[in-house]
Amino acid sequence: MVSVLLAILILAPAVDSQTTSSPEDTPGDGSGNSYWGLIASPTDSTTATLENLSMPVWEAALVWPFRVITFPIKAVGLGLAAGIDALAKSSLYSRIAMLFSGQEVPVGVSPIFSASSLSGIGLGLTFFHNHFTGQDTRLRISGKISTRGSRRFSIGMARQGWEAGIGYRYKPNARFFGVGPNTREEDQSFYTLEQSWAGGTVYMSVMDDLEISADGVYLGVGAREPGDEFSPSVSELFPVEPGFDLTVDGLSLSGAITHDTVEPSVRPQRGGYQRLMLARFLGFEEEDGNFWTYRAEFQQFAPLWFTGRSLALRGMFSWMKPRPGTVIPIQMMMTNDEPDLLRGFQDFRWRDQGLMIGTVEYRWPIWNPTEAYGFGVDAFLFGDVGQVFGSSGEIAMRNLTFSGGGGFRAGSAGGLFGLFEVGWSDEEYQIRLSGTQVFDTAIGRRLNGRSPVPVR
Amino acid sequence: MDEVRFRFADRLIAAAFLFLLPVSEAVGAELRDEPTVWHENDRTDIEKPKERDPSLAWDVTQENVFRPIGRFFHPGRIVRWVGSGFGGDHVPPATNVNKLDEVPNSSWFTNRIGLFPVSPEMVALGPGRGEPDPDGTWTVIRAKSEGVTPGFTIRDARGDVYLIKFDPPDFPGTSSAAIISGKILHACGFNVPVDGVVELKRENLVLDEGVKITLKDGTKRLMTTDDLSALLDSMSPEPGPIRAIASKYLSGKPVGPFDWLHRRKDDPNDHVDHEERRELRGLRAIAGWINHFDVKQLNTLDMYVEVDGQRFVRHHLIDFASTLGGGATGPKAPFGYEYAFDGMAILGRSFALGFHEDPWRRLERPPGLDEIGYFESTQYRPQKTKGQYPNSAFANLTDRDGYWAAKIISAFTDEHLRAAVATGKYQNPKAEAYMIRMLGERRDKAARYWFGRVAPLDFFSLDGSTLEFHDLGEERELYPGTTPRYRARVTAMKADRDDQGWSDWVELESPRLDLDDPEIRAVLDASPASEYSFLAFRLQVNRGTGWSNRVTVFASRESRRIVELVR
Repeated sequence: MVSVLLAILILAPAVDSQTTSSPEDTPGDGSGNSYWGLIASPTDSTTATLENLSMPVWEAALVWPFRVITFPIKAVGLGLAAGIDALAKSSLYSRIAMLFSGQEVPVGVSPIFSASSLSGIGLGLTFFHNHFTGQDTRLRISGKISTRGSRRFSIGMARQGWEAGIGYRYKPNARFFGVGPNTREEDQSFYTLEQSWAGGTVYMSVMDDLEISADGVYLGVGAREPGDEFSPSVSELFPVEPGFDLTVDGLSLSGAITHDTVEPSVRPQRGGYQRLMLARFLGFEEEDGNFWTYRAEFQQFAPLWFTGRSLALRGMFSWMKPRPGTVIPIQMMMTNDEPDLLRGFQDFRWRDQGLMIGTVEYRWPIWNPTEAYGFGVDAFLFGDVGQVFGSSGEIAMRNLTFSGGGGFRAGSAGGLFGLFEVGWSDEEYQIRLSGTQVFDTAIGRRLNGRSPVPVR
Repeated sequence: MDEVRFRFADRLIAAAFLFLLPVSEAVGAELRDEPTVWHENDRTDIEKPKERDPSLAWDVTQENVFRPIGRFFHPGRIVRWVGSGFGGDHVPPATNVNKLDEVPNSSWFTNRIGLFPVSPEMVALGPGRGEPDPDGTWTVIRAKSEGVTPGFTIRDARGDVYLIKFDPPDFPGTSSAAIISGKILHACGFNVPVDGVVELKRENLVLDEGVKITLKDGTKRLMTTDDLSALLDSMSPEPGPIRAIASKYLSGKPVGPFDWLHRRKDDPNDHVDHEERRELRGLRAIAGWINHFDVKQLNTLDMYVEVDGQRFVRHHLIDFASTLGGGATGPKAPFGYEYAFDGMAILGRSFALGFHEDPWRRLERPPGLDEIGYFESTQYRPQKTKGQYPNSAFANLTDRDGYWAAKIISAFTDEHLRAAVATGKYQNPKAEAYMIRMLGERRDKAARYWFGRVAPLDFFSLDGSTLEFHDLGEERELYPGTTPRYRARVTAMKADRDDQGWSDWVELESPRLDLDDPEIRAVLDASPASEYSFLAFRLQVNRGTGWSNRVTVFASRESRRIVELVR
C-alpha cells in the first residue's frame, strides 16, 4: 500500500508543492516503479548486508608488509594528529591563520629565520604591538642570533609622521676584500663589526605619493680583530686601512624626498618608487670621518602577459664624498649588503665610496590558494649588475659584475613572509633565505631595526 | 636469446594474471536467478555511537598530506595503476553495488532521480518544506562559530531549530547556491537538510540568555544585543528584512561528521569502508557538476535517528555554500579547478616559467549578475574537477562509478533544473536564466564524458523473446546530429558461465533485440534451456566514432529476470 501511494506520488506531475512532506524521505524511500521495474519495499530477499570485498591474495602479500613497515610513520602521524587537533582547538591556530590572511594582528610574536654562508643559520623573534600605549603607535622589539656568532637587537617605535629606534649589531666575521672594483676573492679577510645606533626619522607627506623626511641618528661603528675562528684578519692582508681597530662615533643627518606610487601588494604589478637622499656624517673625532652621501634610487613595476606576471626593475646609485683632508673609514663605506645586494656574491664582497646597482626581476605566481593577488608564493628570475667605485673613472663595463638566479617569495597582503633564492656569478653561487628583499621601500625607517650603516 | 624471451614471456603472463585477478573476481561468481538486492541492511537497532569531533586543521592535513602520500606508496594501488594501462581500474570496484551495478538504498543514499521518474515539483520540494515560522519570535540560542561566515542558531515559535546564515559580505545573493545545490543533491539521492531562503525581520529576533559568541581570535564571551545588532548591520545597514538562508536542524542526535576513509568503528551498521562506497566515490562527479568544492568531513553530519523503533545512524551532506561558483566568504576562482595546495600544478607553473596561463585565472563572473559567482561551462572539464583539497573517497572514483553518477546527472532535464534554481529566489531573472543554462551545459558535458568511457546502455528488460534497453545518450539528447547503431551477440550459459559459443554480431537500428533472429536462434537452440539456464548478451553502440566499450547482460531463461550486468 505504501509502495502504491509512493508510486502515485512520484509519477503524478501535478503535486501540490506547498504541501509539507515528511523531511528527509521525500520523494519516496527508494521503492516504486523504477526504470528497472518495480522495486519493492525492503524484504528479506531484496535486502542484504554488504561487506568489504576481501583483498586478493596478491594484494594482501604486498599490503601487510607495507603496513608493518609504515607502522612507525603512522604512530608519528597519530602523535602529530593529537598535536594539530589541540592546536586547532586553541586560539593559537586562529591567530596564526590571521597572520597569513593579511589582516593586521594587533599584538604578537613572529619568528625570524635566515640562512646564508656568511652568517650561518639565524634564528630570532620579533615582538610587535600595533596599538602600543593604546593609540596608533607601533612597537617592534627584535632579536636574532646566528650559528656563526652574529647578534642583532633593536627596538623601534613608529607613529604617523615619525619613527625612532635603537639597535645593536655584532658580527665576528664581517668580511673585507679590499677597496675598489677589482679586489680579488682570494684576498678575503675578516674583522669584527660592532654597530650601535639610536635615532629617529620624521616625515611629512607633501602631496599625494610625495613625502619628505629628515633623519638624525647617532652611529657607533667598530672594526676590530675578528673572532678567533676566522682568519686571516684584515690587519694581516691589508696592513693599513682607515677605520680598522677603531670605533667610529658620529652623527648622521640626512634628508630625503620620496615619490611612491607602488600599489600596496606583496606582488606589486604597477607603480614606481623614486628616492633622492642627501646625508652628512659628522664624526666626533677627525679619524671618525666627515663625509657627504648622495643616493638616488628608483624601482618600477610593470605587468606582463597573463595574470600576476610582472617585471620589477631597480636602480640605485650612491656616492660618498669625504671632506677634503679626511678619509672614509672602511666600516662606513658603501658595500653590497641589504638591500643593495649583488645576489651572486657574498655580502660585503665589494666596498668603496660609491656603489651602483641595477636589478631586473621577472615574477610569476605559482601558488595562490584564494585568488590571484592574495596570499601565495611567487617564483622569480633575476639579474643583478653593479659595481663599486672610488672615482668616476672607475665606472666602466670592465668593472661591472653580473649575477643572476632565481627563487621563491611567499607573502600576503600584509607583506613579505620570506624568500628563498639562489644567485650565481662568475665567482660563486649564493643561497639566501631571508625575510627581507631587494625591492624594499622601508629604507631609512627606524621601526624595523635596519642597520643605518652604511648610510642609505 | 630464446631462453631470455621465454623468461620474459613467463613474467608477462604472470603479471597479466595478477592484473586480471581482480576483474575475474568480479565476474567469476556463479549466476543466480534471484531477486536483486535493492536495500542495504544498515538500519538495525544500535547503541548511540560516540560523537566524533575532528578539527578542520587535522582534516586538511590528513587529506592534503598524509593520505595522498599513503595512496602514492600503497603497493596495491601501484600494481593496479600499472594494470590500468591494460584496461583495469586503479582501485578495487565499489563494494556496495548490486548485480545490476546500481547502489542499493541505505542510510547513506536513496535512489531517486537516477532510477525513478521524478517531477520538477518534487525536485523543488527536496527533503521538504520547513522555513521558520515567519511571524513568530525567533530566539537566538547560539552564535555560529564553525565555518567562516557569521550566523546564529534560532528556535522559532513552533520550537523548531534553524541555522541562519547570510550572504558573504559584498556578495549579496550568492548564497542562493546553497539552496539550489541542496535540492539537486537531494534529488540525486543524498540525505541533506531542509534549507530555504527567508526574510529575517529584526523585530522578531530575541537573544536567549547565556548565548556565547566566538570572536575571530578564537576567544569566547557572552553575546549581547549590541553584538546581534552589529552582526545584522554588517549584513545589511538598511532597515527592513534581511535576506538569509535558514537550514533546519536535522532530526535525531548528532554524532559528528563521517570520515571519507574507512568506517566508524562504533557503528555496527557501518560495514563498508567509506572509500569503497559508490555513492561517495560518484559524488566526485556530481560535486564537479555543481562545483561543490568544499566536500570535507566537516560538511557531513551523522545523525542518530529512530525510525519505526529502530535506532541507527543516518549519514548526511550539509553546508552547500561553496557550490555553483559561490563560496562561504565569496566567490573564488580557482576552486573546482585546482586544490588549495596542488603540488602538481605548483610544480608545473614553476617549470613553465609563467608562460602558461591557468584556465581559471581567465575566469570572470558574468557581467551584471552579482548573485552569480565563478560558474561557467567552457573551462569545465568533468575529468579534471578538483575540490578545495583531495578526498579519500573521490580518489577511488572509477569509470563505472563516474558512469553511475553521470546517469543521475543526465536525468535532470531543463525543467528539473529550472525548478531547482527557482528555489534559490534570485532577484535578477537573468541570474536565474544564466544558472539554469550553465547547469544544463555542464550536465551535458559531464554526461558525454562519462558516457564516452562506459557505454550508456542501461535499464535492460527481457520480455518474451525481446531484449529491450535504453540508450541514455540518445534519450537524453546528448549527441545531436548522430544516429546511433547498436550491435549485440548472444549466448546461452550455465550457472558457472560455461557456454557453447557466442552468436555473430547482430546489428540493430533501435535498442531492442529480437531473440528470434535466425543468427541468434541457432545459437540458443543448440544450448538446451535445462542445462544452459541463462542468457548472456554483449552490446555496443556506435555513434560514428567507433564501437563503444561493451556491456554484458545476463538474464534467466526461465524467469526472464535480468540477473547481472557487467560494464
